[in-house]
Amino acid sequence: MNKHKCTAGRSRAAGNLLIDLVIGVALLGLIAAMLAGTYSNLIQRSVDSFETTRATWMANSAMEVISGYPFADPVFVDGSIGVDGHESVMTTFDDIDDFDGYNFILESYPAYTAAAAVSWADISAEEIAEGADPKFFKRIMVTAQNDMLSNPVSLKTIMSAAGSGVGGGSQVIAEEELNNSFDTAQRIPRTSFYATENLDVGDDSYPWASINSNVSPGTDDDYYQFELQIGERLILDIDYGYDEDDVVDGVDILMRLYTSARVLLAWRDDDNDDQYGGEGSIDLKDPHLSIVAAYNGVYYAKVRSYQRDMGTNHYNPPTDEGNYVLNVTIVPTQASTGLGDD
Amino acid sequence: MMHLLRFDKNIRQKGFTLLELVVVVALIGIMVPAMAMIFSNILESNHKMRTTVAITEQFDFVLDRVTEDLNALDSLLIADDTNIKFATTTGQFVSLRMSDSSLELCTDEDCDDGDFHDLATGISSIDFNYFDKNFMSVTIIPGGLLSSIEGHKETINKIKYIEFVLVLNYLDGTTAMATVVFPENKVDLLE
Repeated sequence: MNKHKCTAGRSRAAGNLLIDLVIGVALLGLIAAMLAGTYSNLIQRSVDSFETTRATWMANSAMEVISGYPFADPVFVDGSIGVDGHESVMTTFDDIDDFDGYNFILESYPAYTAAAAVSWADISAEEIAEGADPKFFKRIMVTAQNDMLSNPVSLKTIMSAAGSGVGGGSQVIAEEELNNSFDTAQRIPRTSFYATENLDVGDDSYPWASINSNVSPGTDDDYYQFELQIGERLILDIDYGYDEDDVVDGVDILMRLYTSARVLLAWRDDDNDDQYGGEGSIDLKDPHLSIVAAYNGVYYAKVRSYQRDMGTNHYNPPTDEGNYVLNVTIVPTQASTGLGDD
Repeated sequence: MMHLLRFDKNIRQKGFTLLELVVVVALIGIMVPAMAMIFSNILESNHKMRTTVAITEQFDFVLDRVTEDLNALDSLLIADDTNIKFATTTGQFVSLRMSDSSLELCTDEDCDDGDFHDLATGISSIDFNYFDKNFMSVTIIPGGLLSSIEGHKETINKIKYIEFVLVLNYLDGTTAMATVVFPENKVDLLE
């Protein structure tokens, strides 16, 4: 009897083994599934943080691209946000707010987009100090997004019209070929003109810009366009052009100035006086000329070698080629606007 | 006694049948691979997570450093796909290049191989891209642009944006991040 009880107990124990095991397995499975769930959640977070980092760098890159553009449109000065006139694609953009609504796609960030939004800064949102003129501040917002990202990354910055480089173009400009005709004349924006120290400019208390250029080959013509306001004096001064010993690898220049209708206003071959030139001319063959603007608008300068201008009778083809610097000064009036210093 | 022995034998049969054993073994057989799969998934995920966190940190560190240096660029001296040299507004020189699997930095004016030291290791590749004022790509000739060569200055002066692409080994492949910098104090080289 005693043995019976004992074996009956064993029987129960043996029967429970299966159920115990099933429950055990179920429990383990449950725990493992929960662990896996928690882990995959963690993974998602780490992937998210990775994608967020990446989106941040992309937004940052887009922001850098925008900040490289001038604060205001040099031509359309009505102050509206968004593209103006012909500015339909990015290569024609010429100021910050043209990027409003633009979608960046950067090659190094496939599957990402960065949408830009530009507007005037908001005083009520305390983006700029109370009393400041909101027309001098633009807000740029860049939002980078990707499918794997649960929350897009938004970066915001306030750009000011003042400050180095932000408000204007660079003061020392490289010639950009092809500028061999009126239609392809290189535009020198008013925002490039600043009054800073330059011994080669006759009076550097006036805003100036400097163009580094060359005549190459000898048949090369260089056209530039400037925007002047009525009453302003434009001074064009060639420096480091001709020198007898050719130590600066220069060229003897002849320079002409035209109206927007391409009517000749003035020309100069050599330097006749030193009133405006400052230093920089090694030889009297470096010309400078000056006019006072009689209308608001575009003026063209045409620069070529003196030899080329002599025509085919003398030099065919012209062989004189080399570098020159064109220092341009705008003497502003009381009413002048849009120069780099403004 | 005989009765008891028979009884005993019956009980033993009821406790551990062959069927039960088979079921138990089968269950264990199912459970073990399932658990192994789950755990290996967890381990793999763990590895992926650690790698992700580590490379995120490395990306951040390197891109931060290069962005900061490029932002201080004053004049660009060498512009190439895989190396760059420039002077900063503080009068320092910065040379970056790729060597083996390291991104190397030198801050001397003239850099020999011995002057370079590792900024980051475990790098798959780097790439410098250059863009003009319209963010159009500026073509870099094989061997790079040298500021000391007359014909290159014009092209170097056109460069307005510099992009640095960093490619790191990530799990079984690679992954890339890039920074575009507008060095607003960049000066033009005089011809």
